[in-house]
Formats: sequence, structure tokens, C-alpha cells
Amino acid sequence: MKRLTMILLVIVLALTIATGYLGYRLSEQQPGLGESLFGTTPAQAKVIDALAPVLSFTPESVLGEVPGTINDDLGREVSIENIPTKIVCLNPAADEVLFLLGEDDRLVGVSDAWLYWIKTPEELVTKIKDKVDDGQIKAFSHYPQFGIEPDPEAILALEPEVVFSFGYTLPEYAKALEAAGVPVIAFAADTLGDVLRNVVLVGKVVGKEDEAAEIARGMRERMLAIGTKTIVSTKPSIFYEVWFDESGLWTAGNGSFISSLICLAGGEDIGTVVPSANPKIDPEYVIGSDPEIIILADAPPGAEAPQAILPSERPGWGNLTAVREGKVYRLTEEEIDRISRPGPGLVDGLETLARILHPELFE
Amino acid sequence: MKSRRQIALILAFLLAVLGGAMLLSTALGSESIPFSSTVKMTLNKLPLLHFEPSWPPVYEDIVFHLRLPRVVGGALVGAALAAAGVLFQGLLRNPLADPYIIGTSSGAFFGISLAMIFLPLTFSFFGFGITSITAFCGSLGAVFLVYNLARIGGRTPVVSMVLAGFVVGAFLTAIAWFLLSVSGDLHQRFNEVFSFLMGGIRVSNWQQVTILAPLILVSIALSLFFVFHLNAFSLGEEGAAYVGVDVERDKLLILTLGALLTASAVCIGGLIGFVGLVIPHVTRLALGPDHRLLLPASVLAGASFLVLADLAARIAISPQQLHLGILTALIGAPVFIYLLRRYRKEYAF
Repeated sequence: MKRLTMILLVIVLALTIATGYLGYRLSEQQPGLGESLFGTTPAQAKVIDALAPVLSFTPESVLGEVPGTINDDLGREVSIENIPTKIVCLNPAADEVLFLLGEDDRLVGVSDAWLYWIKTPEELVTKIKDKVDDGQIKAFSHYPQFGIEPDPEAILALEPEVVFSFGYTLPEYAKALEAAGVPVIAFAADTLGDVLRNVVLVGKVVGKEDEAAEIARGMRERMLAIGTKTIVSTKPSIFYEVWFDESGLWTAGNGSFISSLICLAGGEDIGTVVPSANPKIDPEYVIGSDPEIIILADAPPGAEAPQAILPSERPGWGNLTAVREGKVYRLTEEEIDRISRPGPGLVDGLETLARILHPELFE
Repeated sequence: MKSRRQIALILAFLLAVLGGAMLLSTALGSESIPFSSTVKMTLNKLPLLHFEPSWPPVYEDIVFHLRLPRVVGGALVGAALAAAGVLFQGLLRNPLADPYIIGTSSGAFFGISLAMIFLPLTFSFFGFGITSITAFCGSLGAVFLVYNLARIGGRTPVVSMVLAGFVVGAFLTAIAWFLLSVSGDLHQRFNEVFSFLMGGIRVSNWQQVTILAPLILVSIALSLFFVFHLNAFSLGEEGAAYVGVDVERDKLLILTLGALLTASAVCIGGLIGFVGLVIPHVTRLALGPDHRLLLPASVLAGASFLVLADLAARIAISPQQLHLGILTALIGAPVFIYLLRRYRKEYAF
């Protein structure tokens, strides 16, 4: 009996580890649309994969209407009775859309990211900070990775008619609010196409569908304009550094927004060999891959805060091509902000990357 | 009782294992560098021999600047944690004692959170970043606090030390999380905080090694003077006093050494679980409870184990790196259960 228990235990453990590992390895190898097209190089195939959701986007693909029901990013049907006058929005990308539509006065609650590290659009940042100081808007903390959630009671007290949440699952506070009868629209952009769809979604909620569709079309045009240039260009290899300190080195892995932006900007991201979005990566791999360009995106919030040591000063990094040729670029806080938020500013972020990778295309 | 000859043989064997583990760990990594190149470029660093480099210069960067410091750092952390584990288990006569039991881990976490929020993070001291330094100080500070809190009328009972350690630890952890929660840029700190809590060898330059190696090695050497006292402690404090041990003085000295070792390990390794708890047990199961052999054998076994665990962390899903704490328990737990079942009847703590 004891022996049987042991054997079972070993089998269960071995299976758990094996399935986890296989799942990890297989997720690297899902072929995309690009690969199935005839006559494309692997690098072009990746650009096509990044572009496909942009190409197939139309404003009409956002289903639903207000007043009525509307489909959110988690595929749920949310019914909204009237165009809301009070919105609590914990998805900064949606705040940005409201601002562009001139509807940001409907905001009564926002993410406290606006107070700390969001830098663009500047006008909106100052506006929100002022309103928070005056008490017209309340700021909430939401850090799901640390288990920090806003208090649903405090959100409810603002009497919002709709709440915009952010995350691939519905956060706990949002469930509580739904139970209290407040409609919650969940945002979880996964591809560049979703970014465009979300612009229209926000527009629909505030009754400005046409204006929003116009913004989304403009973004789409610019994405396609860059993509059609870079698809035939050379593809320099690039390392995108998210964070470097004593505890390790982080990049943006396969499936992250940033890696599809890099693809679209005409680069070969060496981080895409890792099938997770925010991987701690072996510095040895970066040095062995010898990228032609290094982009540092680790400017932290606040001017007085530190910046990572430059690659040229790190032990073992001095011989890299990018370091020797001076092709190490440090993004400003504003640029990082645009690149990392799936909102309208993302196109500017894409253009920043494309200009770094292919200055010749923009002359 | 083992003879001197037997002890020497066992230790020589463990030393060879450590050498092998370090060699293997230097030869393997995300980048496949031919074994012969690694050996040749290492020999080139020694006088007398010279091989014409037939490898790209970047390989030397990888081996000497990235792999070797990390391998040596791993060995030091493993040795320090295992030694501290033996010291604390022997001193506290508690099978669940590990290097973190009297608040060292929480002290380090507290120190790190203070640094992240209040100190200029660009500051560095002999190659150590500010968070490493505050982790070290936090660890020592917590032990100092616990020792003084547990001290009653000139004596420091073991029970009150363990309890004070637990309470102070919980308190410091709570403060650390509070500080991190109210700081605005928590999301930026996620990677660093998580890495610290899950453990990982963070040796990024040789300077760190040249400072910590003497500290750890001297502490271990000094601990070897206390092996008889640790044996005496297994009779209980009264028993130890009967055989001529100055109980309170030795308690303080052993505690200080254990705290120094743990603080050094935490400062370049974060919180690596399991090693300091289980390596002493495994060694005790295999070699018996005599501290004269137990301490040095644990040190060597701990160093080898950590070097191999760190190798696994680097190459299991390379080039992505796993957190070391995952590997130490994943590899260590089955080995321990196997040994426990095999030697069950003879286990003398």
C-alpha cells in the first residue's frame, strides 16, 4: 500500500512537471498566418502576423450599442441603459480615448498610475492631477500582481454608471460592483487589432461612435503605413531591455505587445524565443546572440529615480556589436509610456521604434 | 564514531563533488560553448600554459564575467546557508530551525523595502547595490533585535528566542509590505521584489565575490571552533554547562556567526528556501549527528547542491531563467524524502 502511494505520487509529480514543460515549449511553436503564406521569409511572416489583426479590423466588428448591450474584451454582454455621465475607469488606455473624444469630464475615478508614472498625453496628466487635488476625481490603486485591489465600496460611493476594468480575468472589485448592479466593461487588449477595437468600444459607450471610429481608422492607416515599409526592409536583431539590476535582466517575450511592435517596426526581437510576456532572461543569451541594436526601456518613474547601468559599463557586455557601434538607445519615459500602454498613443510608440530601427525609411 | 581517516575521506569526496559541480556549472549554460574551449580559456588565465584562442572573444566574456562569478557566488551562498542551518539547528535544538528562523529573512526584506522607497538606488558600494547592503544590515539588525527581546535576566532561553524571532519576523514583513503598498511605483518594483522573495544568485561582478568570500569563509572557519560546544548543546543547556561550556557566551557567539553567514547569503541570494533546512538534515541522516563532521560536510554538500540547483535554474527553460527557490525545493524535497524513508530507524537528531 505504501509503495503504491509512493508510485502514484511520483507519477503525478512527473506528469505535472512534464505537461507544464511541454506546454511551455509548444507555445513557442504555434505557426501564425504569416508562415502559411507562400514565399514569405520567417521575418516577413512575423510582420504579417503582427499586421493581420490590424488589417482585419473594421469599426463594425465591435458589437453592441448604447443604450442596449455591448460586448467587452472578455466576451461578456454588458447592458448599459443610458450614456453614462459618471465613469470610473481603471484602464488608462480608455482614459486616453475619452480625452481624445473630449469626454474625459465624465470621469469620476481613475487609476492612480496617472499620479505616479504616466507621462502622456501631458495635458490629460495635468488635468487629472488637478482634478484629483480638487477632489473631483478619485484615484484608485490596482496592482493585481501584488494582490492590491481597489475598495469596491469607495468606487460605489462615487455612483458610477459604468466601470471600466483592466485584466485578462475579471478583477475581484469588478465582480463586487457587478453584484451591486454597476455594469463593468472589461478591457484586455491582446493584439494591435484589440487596441483599435477598444477605441471604438469606448466611443460607443459615450455615444461618440463615429468620432472614435475615425480615430481608430487613422491609427490603422499609420500602422499599415509603417508595416508596409518595414515588411520589405532589413531586419536588424534587437534586444529590448525592460529592466536590469542586480537581481536580473528582463525583456519582453513572445506574445507581448512590445514584441509585436518591434516586429512591425522592422526588427528581429531576440527576446521572442521566450514564450512568456515578461521573462527574466539569461544575460549570457543576450551576449551570445550579439544583437545589432539594444533598446533600453528601463527609465523608471520620476526624474530622481535611477537608470540602469549602461551596457558598455557592464562586465562582459563591452564586445557586443551594438555597444561597439554605439547602437544603444535609451527611450525616454514618455516614449516608454506610449509603447507600453495599449491606447491611441501606441502608434506614436510604434513610430519611435521604427525610427530607431530604420531611420532611412523616414528621411 | 568515525575515525579521523574516515572523516578526511568523506570530506575529500565531498570536496571533489563540489569541484565537479562547479566545473559542470561553468561548462553549461544558455550558450553552448565547447567544453574544450572553456577548459583552455580557463587554463590560459593561469601562468605557464597558453593556448591559441580558437573561440570568439565573446565566449570569454560569458565564462569569466557571467558564469564564473555566479558559480562561485552560488557555492558561497550554499555553503553559508548550510553552515548557518547547522549552527541554528544545533543551538536551538529544533529540527525545523533554518537560517531564517530568527527573523533574518524578514529583516532583509524590510531593509530592501526601505531602500526601494527612501534611498537613492543608484548608490553602490564595492560593487554592491543599495538593496544588497540594506538586506545585509536588515538581517543583522533583526537578529540583534530578537536576541535582545528574548533576553530575560541575563539569560536567553531558546524558546523565547524562537518565538521572538517569529514575531519580529512577521512584524518586519508586515511593515515591508505596507511600505511597498503605499509607494507609487510598486509595479516597477515587482520584478525585483519577486526575485528577492523567490531567491536567485545575483552576483554581477567579481568585486562582490572578493568581499563576501572572505566574510563567509572566515565565518565558517570560526564556526568550526564551536563544533564541540554544539555537540555539548545536544545534551541540553544544563548538560552543556556541566561539561564546561559557557552557555550564554557561546550562544551569543554562535548566533552571531549564524547571523553573519545568513546575512551574507541573503545579500547576494535573496531568500533561497530549503537549503539551510534540509542540507543539515540530509548530512545528519547520512553521516550522523557529530558536529565535527556534520558542519564541514554540510558546508560542502550545501555548496554543491546550490551550484547544481542554480545550473538547473539557468538551463531548464533557457534562455528564460527560473527562480532558484523553485529548483531547490523541487530537487531537494524528493531527495530528502527518499533519504528519510531509507534511514528512518537510525535518525538521531
